Amino acid sequence: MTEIFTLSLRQLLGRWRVLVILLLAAMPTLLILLIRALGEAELAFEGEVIDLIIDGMVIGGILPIVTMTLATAAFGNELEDKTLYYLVLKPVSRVSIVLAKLLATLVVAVPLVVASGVVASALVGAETQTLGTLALALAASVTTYASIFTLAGLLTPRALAYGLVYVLVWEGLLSTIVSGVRYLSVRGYTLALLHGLDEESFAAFEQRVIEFPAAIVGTGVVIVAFFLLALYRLRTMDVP
Amino acid sequence: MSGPTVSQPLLEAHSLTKHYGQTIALHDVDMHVREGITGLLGPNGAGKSTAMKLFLGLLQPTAGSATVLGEKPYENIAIRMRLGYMPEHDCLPDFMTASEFLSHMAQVSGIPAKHARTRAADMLRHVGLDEERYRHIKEYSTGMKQRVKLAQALVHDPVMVLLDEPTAGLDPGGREEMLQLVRRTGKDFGINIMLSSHLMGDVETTCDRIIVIEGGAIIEEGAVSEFTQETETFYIDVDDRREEVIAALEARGIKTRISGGSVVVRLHRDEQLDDIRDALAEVQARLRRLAPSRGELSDIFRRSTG
Amino acid sequence: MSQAQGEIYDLGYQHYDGPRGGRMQAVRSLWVNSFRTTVGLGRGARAKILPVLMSLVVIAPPAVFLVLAAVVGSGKLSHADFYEATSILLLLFAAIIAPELLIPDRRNGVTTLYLVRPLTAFDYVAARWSAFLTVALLVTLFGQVLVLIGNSLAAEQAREFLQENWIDIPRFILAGVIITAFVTTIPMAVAAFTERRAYAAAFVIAVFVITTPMSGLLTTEWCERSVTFAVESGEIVEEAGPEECRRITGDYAKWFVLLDVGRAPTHISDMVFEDDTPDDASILVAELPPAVPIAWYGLLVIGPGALLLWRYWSMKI
Repeated sequence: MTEIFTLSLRQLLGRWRVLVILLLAAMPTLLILLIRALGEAELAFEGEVIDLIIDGMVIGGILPIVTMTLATAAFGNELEDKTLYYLVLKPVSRVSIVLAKLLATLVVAVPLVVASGVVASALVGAETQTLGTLALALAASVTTYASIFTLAGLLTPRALAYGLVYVLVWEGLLSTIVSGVRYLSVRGYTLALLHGLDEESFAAFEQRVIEFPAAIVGTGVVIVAFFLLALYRLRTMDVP
Repeated sequence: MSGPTVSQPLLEAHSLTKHYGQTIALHDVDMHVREGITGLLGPNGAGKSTAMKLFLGLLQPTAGSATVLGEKPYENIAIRMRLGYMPEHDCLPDFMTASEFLSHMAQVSGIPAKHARTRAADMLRHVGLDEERYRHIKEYSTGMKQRVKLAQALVHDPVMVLLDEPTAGLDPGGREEMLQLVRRTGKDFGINIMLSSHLMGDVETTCDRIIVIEGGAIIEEGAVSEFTQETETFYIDVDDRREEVIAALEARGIKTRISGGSVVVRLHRDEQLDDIRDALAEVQARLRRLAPSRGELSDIFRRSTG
Repeated sequence: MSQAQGEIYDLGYQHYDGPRGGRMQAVRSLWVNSFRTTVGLGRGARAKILPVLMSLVVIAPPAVFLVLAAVVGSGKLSHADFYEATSILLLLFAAIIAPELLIPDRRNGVTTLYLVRPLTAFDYVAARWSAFLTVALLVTLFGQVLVLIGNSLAAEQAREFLQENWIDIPRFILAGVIITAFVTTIPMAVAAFTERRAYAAAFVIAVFVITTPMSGLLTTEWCERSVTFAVESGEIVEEAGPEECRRITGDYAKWFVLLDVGRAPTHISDMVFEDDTPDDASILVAELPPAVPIAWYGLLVIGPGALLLWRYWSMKI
């Protein structure tokens, strides 16, 4: 399993791809440094800053897109290059294969996304405990998307395309307009987790959250269910 | 467009040179390709593909010129309607049927839609893909794909078609089928062909004329019959007076060539061996080696590619 | 293939003596092929899913509006607002479908076959580009027609409404061209530089999704009331002064509004419609000379367009 893990990790870390993803993840920090450099206003961890940087940029953009790109590629590239066949021939259980692929995605995506949000928040003076909460919620959110899109990569070669439609239309538009959608939205869960863990710091999300327990259950169910579905798919599919 | 006459070469290169940065792919090549099937023989990296791409107008020459029916294809792209090209590498879409793809390619080559469909169907029949023409190309075997590649090069009825390593990647059976198709294209369809290969067997059995190319230069050319007729090639190594030996041989009507320090002669009659003896005696050269070598193409190829 | 060969021989090879079109015919054929590929024609049911889904995504909002207008008989959606709302969806449509026209050709080596035929690299790119533009434009205009019908249904006199507002038709066609040229060129340029379709789409979407909140924060308005203290009959009294608002980046804000690249074409379409329902972004853009957003739009179309052409012009076959 370690072998598959390191191999998958190397596949994910194409030179240009990593560079682009790093640049994307650095955007919140660069933005804050820019505003500081202009020196027209003092930023604090509140209101618009949380709304636009944490929700708008990180949770609504960087987090899903980075995670989806990596997670769909985990099996998608193997299918596209017709190498999955060799992988399933190895004397390794299917559970280990799915787990190795998922972990490879997480090992890259979690630190990147967490750093992306936490560094920016620390720069505008968020407290240590708030930063911890933020890191936890972002990591949970990355794991949820990763679980969903590891399965998607096994289902269709156009997984990332469908993923982008889903993120933009479902998570981006519908979950902000139709409140019921938030019960079936990773973004909805993430905002509720943040608000539930630290109501004071994340008061900005007050109007847009579902119940805290629902978010916890939702996150857990999605992660486990999609992992099992991916496992089932790998067991039953015709590997080309 | 009137049919080309024998006096006007189909393809012509004058001091054709192509550099890729520091690498010299083709250097000062003169070439005249006439009707029939011409083989371009040489090892990988000899400059065969580069020569073809220059004739197709895919590349611009660094110096010199490449012309097709008297036109420069890089400048006058309309001449490409009269050319067909089968690249060495994969060049087929996955999600199109062979029928649809060929019809499309015929149209891109200037044939109106209604004629293109008929041409596509005919061409697929000629290459033996009648049954499978409504299947997606993705599902084809290597041999079938190779035949679609040939068909797309012929679908617009070109005057000349350039086939870059048409047998690459095929098993012996598939290779023979492909070469047979190439022969039929040349002989029965009356389409002129330039075929490149690094395999002697391919050109020996298929071509009328052969151009041997290596290191970006032409090192030998002639009719296949010239190479394969009952001739014997001899290598003559002398310690000294090589120039005088050559002069004496030429005086006796024996053509000579220098290769790797040896004087190479091609003999058509056994009596010519006596002429060699006389020539050596006349100039009093010290003979080190007089070795025969069967006059087969594979031999030339081995020599020329060292 | 051996069994039927005797018969094949008998049919014989026929040379083609019919008419031959030149470059125009080649470009036209490539255009038709591009159009079919875009909508997924002749490629099986699976290839149609994404084009159909994406068209629905763009058309759904005006369709919902139309139904509401017909049933409730109220509401008005301006053509300019429709573009503002759907430009990101159109971009999504283009980012996912447009790379389909360039990347598979390069991956499969088909590009070579096109370039040895009587067309240039420029012709190839132009045919692909304009075919996609046409599809995107058709989808967009369909949406606008739905909006127009919805608006006239909601109006008291549909005929009168149309007579008064016919000018919107040429306007939304012009604005449609402006927006679709934008959403077509950028994904195609990105697709010229990557070998996997999905990455091209993800990159484009990522840039557009995150520049919106970035520009939002950079142009945030902060309002403060200055408070003055006065002593009035022995007591200290607070007096609220006038509210003072300023942008987080001060005078630079009007430039940072341009960072929201997704809005670049809608600033121009707002000019076409002479839209006077300003939101925050258009208030700031209005502070700039009109040449600036126009130049910015031009740069975002011509720049990627030039890169795209350069890439194909200098491609090593």
